[in-house]
Amino acid sequence: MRSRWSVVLAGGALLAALLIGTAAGAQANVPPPYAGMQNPFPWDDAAAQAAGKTIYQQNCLGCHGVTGNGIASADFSAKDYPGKLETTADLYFWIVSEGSMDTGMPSFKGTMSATQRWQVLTYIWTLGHAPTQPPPSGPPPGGALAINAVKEVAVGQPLVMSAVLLDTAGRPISGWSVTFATREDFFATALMTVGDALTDDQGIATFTYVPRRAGTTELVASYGPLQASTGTIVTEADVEFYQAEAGIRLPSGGPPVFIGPGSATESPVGHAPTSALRLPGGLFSWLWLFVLGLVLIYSVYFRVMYQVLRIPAAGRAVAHSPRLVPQAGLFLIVAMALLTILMILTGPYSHFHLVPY
Amino acid sequence: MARPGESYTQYYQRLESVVLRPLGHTTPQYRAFVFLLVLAIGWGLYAYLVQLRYGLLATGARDVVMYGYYIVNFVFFIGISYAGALVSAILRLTHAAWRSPITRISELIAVGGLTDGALQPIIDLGRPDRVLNIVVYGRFQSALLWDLIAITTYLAGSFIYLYLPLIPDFARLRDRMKPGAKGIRARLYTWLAVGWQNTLEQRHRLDRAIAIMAVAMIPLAVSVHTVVAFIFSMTLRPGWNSTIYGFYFVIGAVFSGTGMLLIIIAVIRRACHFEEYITEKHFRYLGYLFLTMLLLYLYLAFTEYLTPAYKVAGEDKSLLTLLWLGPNAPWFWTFVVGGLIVPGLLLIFSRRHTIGKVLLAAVLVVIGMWLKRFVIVVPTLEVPLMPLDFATYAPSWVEISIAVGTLGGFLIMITLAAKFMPLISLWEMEEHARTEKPGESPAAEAGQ
Repeated sequence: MRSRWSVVLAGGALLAALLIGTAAGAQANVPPPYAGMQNPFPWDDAAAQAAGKTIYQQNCLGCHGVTGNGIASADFSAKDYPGKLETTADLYFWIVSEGSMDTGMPSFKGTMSATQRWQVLTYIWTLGHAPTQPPPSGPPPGGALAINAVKEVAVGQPLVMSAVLLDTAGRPISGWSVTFATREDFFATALMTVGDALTDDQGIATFTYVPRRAGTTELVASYGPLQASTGTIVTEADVEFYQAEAGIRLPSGGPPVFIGPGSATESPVGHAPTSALRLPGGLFSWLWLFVLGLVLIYSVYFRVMYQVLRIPAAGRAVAHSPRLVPQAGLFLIVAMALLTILMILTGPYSHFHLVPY
Repeated sequence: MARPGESYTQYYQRLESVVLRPLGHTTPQYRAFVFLLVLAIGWGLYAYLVQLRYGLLATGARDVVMYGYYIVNFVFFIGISYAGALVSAILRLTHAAWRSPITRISELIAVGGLTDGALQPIIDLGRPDRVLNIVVYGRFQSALLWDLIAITTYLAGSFIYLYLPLIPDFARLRDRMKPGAKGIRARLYTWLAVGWQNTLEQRHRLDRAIAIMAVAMIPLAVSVHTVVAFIFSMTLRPGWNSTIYGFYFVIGAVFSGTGMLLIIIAVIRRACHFEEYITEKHFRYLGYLFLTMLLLYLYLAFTEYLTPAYKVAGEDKSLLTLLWLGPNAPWFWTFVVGGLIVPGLLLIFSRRHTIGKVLLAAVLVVIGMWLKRFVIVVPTLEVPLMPLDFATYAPSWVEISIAVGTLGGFLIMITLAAKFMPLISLWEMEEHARTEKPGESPAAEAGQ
């Protein structure tokens, strides 16, 4: 007996040691495709840094911030970060490529080439060298802000916006963040921030944004209380870039039926559209199947309650035969059936930008 | 049991006096219980007023975890209501004679649980008046609209199904009133009995109506709980976006509903002295059903977790970590051990002390299934879909008070019903006594 227990114990200890070893080694040991990889660019390669900066602004800035200190556990602006990058470049390349589920870091190997991933790391290397960036005095007061963008761009094509930031004396302000936004109109109009960019030595901040909806769009740059805006026309692209569609196109029995006030088809700003009678898929809409199911259920209720209504008549004659309960029941059943069916058949006509089905 | 040498007439008289006794006889314990329930409901109402005044900020729900106790209770009480549909409708359809003492109670649970459950999403609205928007602006594409339709349709059906077998009993109560009584009670019984005189044709019509409703109730009940599951499974969230959810919720509902039914019949049996009619046999048979549901639920829970756990991809990994090792682990493992394994063992080894063991299993399962609903609703929402920190949820005193008030509301519906209607269907009991083979005593076990 004793020997059997010792075998079990030894086995258990071995298993535990293995598990602990795997868990501890998981982060430190970079797996094969990545292990030992080195940055093909010198860390101070200015061209790679510039290319990396653009990629950083489009993909990383949202979480990691302009100066790289957006996430405390991965603070690129820390002084020791460039050193870590240089010694364990393969670890960081692995994290950028595969992401890290524990921290919410997404994987970028599908959206960036290996070169681009190294460029981003090369740019991140500069963030630790940057002079301590917000100076103690706070952002310098802006004097003038202007925004420039192409006048016309197709859906899905990059729209480059650049803003020029000058101080009160007319000198460029460099190294400060300008916020770019577009004016979006859903049911209410509001500015939607699309990103930030730092101004360079000439006070110019450049940001690239890919518009997804056609139409006239107002682009807005802001710095503190300063705002500048310009308009651009986003045209339809030849290829379908991104088009939301309401479900699978089922074979339909004609054009969708829509009966309602004219106001139901408009999208008044700040208000939900009114309800109207709608039959998706035409007169032979699939919606009828659900209506049929409800009619069936409520006719069963009606029939049952009708049996109750007939109970007094089936009894021996009495002075008063109260039918109040079954009568009220029948009324309620009919009312509920009508209300429920109307609820299915009517609704607001919304999602105007979707392909009608 | 029927006493030796007792005639049918004597048996009926004794049955009627026992079953109708709670209607005219109020014990101090009953008063104290109702007082307690009224206190709980009053406190819950006060908490709701606080919520109306300060909005949902008074709850622990926030923008990330926006479902809390209310939605947990919504799923829980809708599940409880399932006991009525299943036990009553299925047992009626299969002509299981032992059902008659428990059908009325299960139908009451169905109506009570459903009313209570349907209230929860309205409580969960910061602006309850906006519930009308779903009627006016509801779009068929929305699972919430499906839910509203399924619940109202099923609620109407449960009321009809509760009412039909009550008609002959209401007629008896009407006939037992003093001749010429004009009180509100007498008038109500007269209206509700719809001139029932137990003629052959009336009997025929009622039997037919009950048979139709029994058939209709089963698919309706299945649809309601499936649609409740759809509210979760139609979303792209870890844990919820699962194809088994419809069936899983249906089985979970029957499982927890049977547990609640067992608890309530045990309490009523004791409080109303129905020991002669609700016997160990009922606990044994319901125990079999209970165990079957437990095993089915165990199987479904296993597949529910194995499927994501085998892949541990993306958010699923975060969810499973939260459930098994994270802050929700105590609730999860209490559900697994206390709500499935221990009750399962109790039910398997329940040959001796059946009532006690089945009852203990039922209490554990009801608690475990409440926790399971919590574990379904909350941790999924705690997993961020964007690179944010994990969210947390803790109920506020307002939510706890409203939950207690809700339970009080459910119990008071059944407690007050005991003063208004016989909790055992008298006419069905008599009918089954009559259809037994000649020579057997009227109360002998029928249908075996």
